[in-house]
Amino acid sequence: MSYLLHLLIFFQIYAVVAMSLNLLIGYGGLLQVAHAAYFGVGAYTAALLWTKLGVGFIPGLLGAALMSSLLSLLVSLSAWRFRGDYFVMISLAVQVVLYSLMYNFMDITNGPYGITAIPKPVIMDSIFATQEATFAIYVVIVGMLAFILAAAKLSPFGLSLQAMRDDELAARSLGIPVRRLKVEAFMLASAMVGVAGGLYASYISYIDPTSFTLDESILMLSMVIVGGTGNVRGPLVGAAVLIAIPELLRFLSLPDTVAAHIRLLAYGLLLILMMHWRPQGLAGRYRFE
Amino acid sequence: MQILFNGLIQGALFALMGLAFSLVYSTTGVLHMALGAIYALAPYILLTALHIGLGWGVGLILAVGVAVFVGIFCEEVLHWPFLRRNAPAEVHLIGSLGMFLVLVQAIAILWGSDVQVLHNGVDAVYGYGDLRLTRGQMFSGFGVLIIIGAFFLWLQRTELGLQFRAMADNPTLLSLLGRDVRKLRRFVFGMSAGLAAFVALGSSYDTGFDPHGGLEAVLIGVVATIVGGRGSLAGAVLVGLLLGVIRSEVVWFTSARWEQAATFTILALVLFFRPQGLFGRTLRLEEKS
Amino acid sequence: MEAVAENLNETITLRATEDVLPWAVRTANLCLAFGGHQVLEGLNLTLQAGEAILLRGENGSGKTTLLNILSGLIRPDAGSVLLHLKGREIDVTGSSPERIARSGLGRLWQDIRLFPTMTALDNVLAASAELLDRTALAGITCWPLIRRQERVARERALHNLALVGMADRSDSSADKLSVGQMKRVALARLLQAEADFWLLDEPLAGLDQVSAEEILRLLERFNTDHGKTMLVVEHQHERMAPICGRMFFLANGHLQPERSV
Repeated sequence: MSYLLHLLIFFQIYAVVAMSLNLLIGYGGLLQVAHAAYFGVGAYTAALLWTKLGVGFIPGLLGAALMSSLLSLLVSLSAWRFRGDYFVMISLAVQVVLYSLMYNFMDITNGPYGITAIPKPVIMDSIFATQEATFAIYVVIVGMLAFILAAAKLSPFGLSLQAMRDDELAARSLGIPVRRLKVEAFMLASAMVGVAGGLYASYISYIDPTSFTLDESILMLSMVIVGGTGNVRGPLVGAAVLIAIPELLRFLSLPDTVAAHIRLLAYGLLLILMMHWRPQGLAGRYRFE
Repeated sequence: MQILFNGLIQGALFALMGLAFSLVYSTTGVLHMALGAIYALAPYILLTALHIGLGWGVGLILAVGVAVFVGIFCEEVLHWPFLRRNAPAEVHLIGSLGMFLVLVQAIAILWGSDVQVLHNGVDAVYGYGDLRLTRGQMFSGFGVLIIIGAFFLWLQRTELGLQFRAMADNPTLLSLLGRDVRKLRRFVFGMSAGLAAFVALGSSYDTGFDPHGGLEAVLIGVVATIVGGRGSLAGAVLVGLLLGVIRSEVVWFTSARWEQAATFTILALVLFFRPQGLFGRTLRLEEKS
Repeated sequence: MEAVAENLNETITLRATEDVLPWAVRTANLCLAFGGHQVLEGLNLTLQAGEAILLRGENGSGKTTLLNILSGLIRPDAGSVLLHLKGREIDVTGSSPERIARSGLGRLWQDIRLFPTMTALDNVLAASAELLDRTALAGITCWPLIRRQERVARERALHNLALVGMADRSDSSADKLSVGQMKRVALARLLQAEADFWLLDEPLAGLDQVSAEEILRLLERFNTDHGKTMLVVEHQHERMAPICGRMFFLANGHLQPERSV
């Protein structure tokens, strides 16, 4: 078990999380705090499809993407009209509700006990059981997801999205279809983060609701804010920093339970510091202005 | 009947929480997420005070006092500096989320994540006809009544209350008029923290509390504010009360797992049919951008 | 919206022969009350295709409100707004701003409203009529096709920037431009969107003599050579009057025609 590979796999998963959230926040100006919930929905959907229905690896991931994006469709169709702060508050409600669904619906999700023994990828009858194999297949999958996100961001769709972010009213008065853009951005971002959730579930092989709370959503927000918004490499920097911090904290040799809290505290602190000194993040292009 | 009564007491606390959140939102436009952390903190201060032998009276005052301090701290460290730099709403929100994370994790580090209680054993119960109320319920119920009564009296009758109402109506105008907006804002943040602390203390008297209890509370505050209506403090109070009653009934008729869903359904319905909230005023389209 | 012929003068000739009604924008009995006060009352206005009219009025008389109704930001209490598009009459009362924009109505805002994080070129490109319907899926799957369309749109954008004299500043960030330059980019944006009916809210505001002259020349040119129908709200009416065919004064919710130039 290579520790470096372990970190790299996590980096890949979180890179997708960050890039998809960046599509929403950095390109679309659609701040929201429910990303961890969609991540969790993807994780649970994939895990259940794999364990309860014996579905294949890739179909499981596709199912995760579908479920997350359908849920986001429900939310975005209802909420697209709303102004920034209402939109965020609605996303807060979505986060809490989805979490409580994961926690309370024992018959489906097994509640706080979580789902165990999630299988490693099995593609065309070959089991990717080793860590190296997992890393390799993930590189391929994550590469495709990153390509999809980048293609979307650099297309006319991406330009319209940025126009909407900069000035929604001016954009609408030029004929830019704001409702469609918001819905599409959400569906795409949620689908991507849903797949990332599936990858996460398979790699860790055990999931429970505590990985998908508001704290985690804020953490994902940190990645994007710290790394930088509005361009392609910002989220990658953010994901790298997010992985690096717990590793640095290791040197302080704190007890495990406290370490987890210090890690989250550090992210919160980073958010505050970033807002004060560098709102565009370490490597970003778009400043909240 | 008992269910209704429990719902009313719960609703009273929700009403005060709604007021606390709406107070900050209506006057400063800030989504005070950190209020959830302040809510979580109050019972811990009381607990520590009890442990070191300061007694309930001093403990309560200390708990509220520390909460008020933290509330003003948020304003001084985050929202005032951001306001001075004309930062957009996203920056305030992200800062507040960061602060939420920092404070909640600090609580977890200092006191641990386990659920704690303020006192052991069953509390004194009083009977009135068919109704049973605990001492905690009496304290909460009367306390909320007095506080809300005093608040609205203050709002209507005093000079400070007048300035306050002016700020809720039109903050920029008020600052142009040269009134000491900074002092007013500190007051607002302090007061909302104090109110939230009271709610937390009332709630945690009969039940346990943990570092993450603030999330639910702030969500209630958010929903009460949105459903109550933009700029309507009384609206937030009334909706909070309603939420408490409805949730109690829902839990009684179905089960605890639907409690969250009830809140969310109410939010969704109101946003769909009356986006400006029950008592809010409609904005013209340009204002919405 | 369909692609318009590269040479816009061509289109004007076509339209003139197929025109049944010579009007472009029409309001019928427009009424709006706001804050207990009747802002617009039974307002009737007809804009002929290709004409430029000037609208004056006191502050608060409702000029901006009228523009907002025409743009689809506010719904009138009563009355209707009609556009004449390709020989057909469309009722756009209460339609969304997007739909009205796609029917050919464009607006120059009083505060200009360029997209501040984007370059001048991207600002214009974002308004491309032909790219409005490109979905995310299309952007991902039909990559080469989209690229080609983008290239065409980009050429058009550069052409439009050249028309307003901003070709050399196409890569400048929008927030680094002067007010005059921003207004010119905003006009290029309207050209790119292929808007035929332009609402101009104080186009000369905040400009020095030279820049104001430039904008005036451009507006005159777009009106006479390109046939853009214009409704101009402007305080500096003496400067504006020469290029406008008719003038109106908005007071008490009604339009009063003033002497024709």
